[in-house]
Amino acid sequence: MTDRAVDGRVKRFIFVIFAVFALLTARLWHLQIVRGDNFEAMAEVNRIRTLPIRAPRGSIYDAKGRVIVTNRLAFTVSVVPSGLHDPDGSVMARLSELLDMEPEEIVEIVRRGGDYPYEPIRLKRDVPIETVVAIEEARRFLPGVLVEEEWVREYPHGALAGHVIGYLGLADRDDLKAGYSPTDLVGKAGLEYAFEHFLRGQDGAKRVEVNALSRPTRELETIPPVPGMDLYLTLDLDIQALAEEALERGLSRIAEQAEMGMAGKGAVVVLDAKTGGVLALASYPPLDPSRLTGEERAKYVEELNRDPMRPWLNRALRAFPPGSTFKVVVGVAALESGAVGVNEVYNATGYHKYNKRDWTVRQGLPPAGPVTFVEAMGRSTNDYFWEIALRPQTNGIEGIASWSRKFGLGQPTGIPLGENAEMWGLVPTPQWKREAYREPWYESETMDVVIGQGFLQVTPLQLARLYMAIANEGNLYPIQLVREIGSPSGDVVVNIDQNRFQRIEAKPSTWRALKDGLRHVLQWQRGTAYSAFAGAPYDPAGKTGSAQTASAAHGWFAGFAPAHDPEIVVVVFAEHGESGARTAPIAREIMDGYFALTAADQDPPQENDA
Amino acid sequence: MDIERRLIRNLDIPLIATTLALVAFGLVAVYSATYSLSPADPFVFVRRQLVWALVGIAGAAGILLTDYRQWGRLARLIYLITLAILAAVPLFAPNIQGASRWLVIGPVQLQPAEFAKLAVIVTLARRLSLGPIERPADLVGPLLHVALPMALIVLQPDLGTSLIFVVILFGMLYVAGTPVKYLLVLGATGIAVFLVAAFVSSQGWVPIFKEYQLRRLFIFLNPYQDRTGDGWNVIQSMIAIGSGGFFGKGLFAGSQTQLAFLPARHTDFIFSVIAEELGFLGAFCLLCLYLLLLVRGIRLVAYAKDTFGVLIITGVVSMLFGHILINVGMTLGVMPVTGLPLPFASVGGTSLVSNLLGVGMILNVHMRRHKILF
Repeated sequence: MTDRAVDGRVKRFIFVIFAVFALLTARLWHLQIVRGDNFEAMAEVNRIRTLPIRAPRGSIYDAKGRVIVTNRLAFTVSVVPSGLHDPDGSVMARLSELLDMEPEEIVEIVRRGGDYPYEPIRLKRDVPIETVVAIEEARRFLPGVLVEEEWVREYPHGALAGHVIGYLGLADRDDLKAGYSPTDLVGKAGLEYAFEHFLRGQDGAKRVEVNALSRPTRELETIPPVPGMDLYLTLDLDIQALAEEALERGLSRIAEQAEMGMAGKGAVVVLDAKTGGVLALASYPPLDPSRLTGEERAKYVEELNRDPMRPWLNRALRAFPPGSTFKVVVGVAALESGAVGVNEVYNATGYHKYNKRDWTVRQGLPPAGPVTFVEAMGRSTNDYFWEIALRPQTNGIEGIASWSRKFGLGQPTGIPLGENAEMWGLVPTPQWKREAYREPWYESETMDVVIGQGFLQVTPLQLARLYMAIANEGNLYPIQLVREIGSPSGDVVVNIDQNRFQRIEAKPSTWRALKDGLRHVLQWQRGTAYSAFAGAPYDPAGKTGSAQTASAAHGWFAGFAPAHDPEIVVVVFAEHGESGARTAPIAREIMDGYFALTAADQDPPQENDA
Repeated sequence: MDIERRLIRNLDIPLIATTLALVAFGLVAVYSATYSLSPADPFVFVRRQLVWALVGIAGAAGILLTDYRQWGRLARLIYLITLAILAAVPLFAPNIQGASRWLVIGPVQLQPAEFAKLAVIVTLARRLSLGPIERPADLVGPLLHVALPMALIVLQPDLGTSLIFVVILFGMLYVAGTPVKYLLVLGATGIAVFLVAAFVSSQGWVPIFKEYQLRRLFIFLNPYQDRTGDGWNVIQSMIAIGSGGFFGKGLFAGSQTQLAFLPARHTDFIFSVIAEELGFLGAFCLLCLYLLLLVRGIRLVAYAKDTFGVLIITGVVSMLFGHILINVGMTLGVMPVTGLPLPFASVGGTSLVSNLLGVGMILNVHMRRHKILF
């Protein structure tokens, strides 16, 4: 080969080298100058991480300032998708082992995590400290994995008042629209739901510089969190506890005696008769919020869904026919209209003549004979109430419906547990029936309503409010549950107005007759619940009721004490409990317990210094 | 000694200066990439690299004492020893990250494939200098000559280095006067064979390449398809380079480098460190130094007194060119991720030494350009 030929080839070789370097330089220019800003932004996003500082959720306190729900600091393991560097799946494998989760489960959570690859996605809350230590030790094998400190709900009293407190759940689609992220916990029921806005607080943030392992190297800026506001309730933990215990014991007694096997479910409402404040509110079977927030949530939800007793329902807020407890409304309607006088004696024959057919009170019971209003109430004499309801002055179903509405039936009580939490019940009228059924109203249907059956639907809470209005002779307070909302620092306090109430106008003699009638139920030897309250020293008044249904009857008790100066209203409801009389002992136990507690409060036990 | 002094006067100063400048540039970049790795002794990598540089310079000086023409006579022996060592590597080399490339001798790790490149350059130069390639059949010998050691290196597996053999082969064949159409056919055949091999491997029929090798090879086409896995390195490198802008973020102040977002930053991605911290300005200067080195090197061909010398220079320049192209192209996201070091800059003793020896070989040929008169 000639030198000249070599020379030519070397020149072309040099040309190739120049060409390649020109291309590399062009690419370098493209990345650094043309797209430089773009990559600079990406480098910043790599480097700077905004870590949330979680705001503690507001606590909930009872009437005496005792904690019902609070928070404790726990460790949450999260992953930052943009920092996750996992070419061979080893990070996932390690994580799944450390957290005891299926790798697919983790991948699914990350996938669902949302559109922000730089926002931490929570994998597991409340992990034990050993796991945190293990993760920190394996830190360099776990890029993108983060251990955050986070507040978790703490329920020092377990399931107590579970239906009132409610529970938290993962944010759903609507919550996401409201600005939550998919792994945020949001109030889903009860106070947690209704007061979400106050309880939630506002997360702060820490802007930190991190390295490739998501380990902070430098702090850039901190925005402190704003803790959630606390709720102060009217609810009294002692009364709640005794009400729940009495309800559970009583319902199991009722279930043993029930013949149709549908019993065992029920509710209790205890109100402060002077304010409408809820002192206790319970539904059975109970709901355990701690298990609904914790890691075993799915299992517990499954359990609850399968339970034929349907523990999800807050039965204190569900509507049922109220049975004879409703007779007080019929009584007011008749007394106020002048259809019957307080002292008028009516000869109750045991049946009522209606449309040439006799309505018998109950097979096998002797007729009550001549009774006054008070005695008829005491013995729950059906034919007496049919008689006074159907007298023209009472104005039949219209009169009864009008008084029902005055006492707050057929409308929400306003208990602040969230919209749709309580049923409105139903106060039937001929107009309602025309619209609902395209049929006229029959007088026999009025007679059903008089004894609290038929179309009439009332919630235990509505009934308690009604009896409260009787107890304090016409003051229909709205139902109070939250007295006060306050920030932990005390800067912000929202007082809830307790002084607005509706006044039900009726003659003093009417109120007196109603109270005397209810006293007779419990204190007169022939009263229907005399035995349950025998010897009660606190002047109790009340009414039992059993409401026929298509299946087993519901059992009710509604009452208050002391009748001369009422302090508490108690309603007990036994769904399909078959007997009203059997609910009375539950109410007795609660009232006994309440007065024992107040006595203890007034006379604190003496120091034993002997 | 009189003769030696005259030879020393023949040393090409620009080539030496450029090489030393590149080594110095590399040491600064290595310091920036590694000082935070061992806070107790931030210079540990730099010092080790400096020692290797001195070893390489000493080695190059040693090479200058010999006459390159003597190497040609030893070609057969050199070739056989090289093959023997390469064949022995899998037997003795520990498996490091899935590959057996390094021989561990006391405190040092050696990568025989690096030296094999130089050996193949010398021996191939010898073979090609014996006679011109005029018929296709003449290609068989040189092809087998390169294919044998290359196959052993593919098995380690070390795809990147074996790719360099291809660059060396083509560069030397071209300058040796092989008809261009032969080279085109050879190139096309080579690409076709590779694609077929990749296809049968990806289908799992014949395991020529491992699945991860193929994935890494092609990930640069769309690194975002596996953002956190195979694409990570390329994406982080492009972010590092791109965010450097014109002037860079300042030496030791590149967030991608210092916060470890950039992987293998002191080895495969050292160029990204320079581009991030010194910007377009610094990276362009570095590229100019490489350009100077290559062009100066290949120009020295003109002084070589025989074809053997011409081809040695061509081989070394091709080797360096291949490394620069593939490595810088990789960091810029336009070349496959093969894990090839950047000459004189990447941390790695064997690579640095063999590149310095290569420069020594060029100098040797150039130095002995005139007939020595007795």
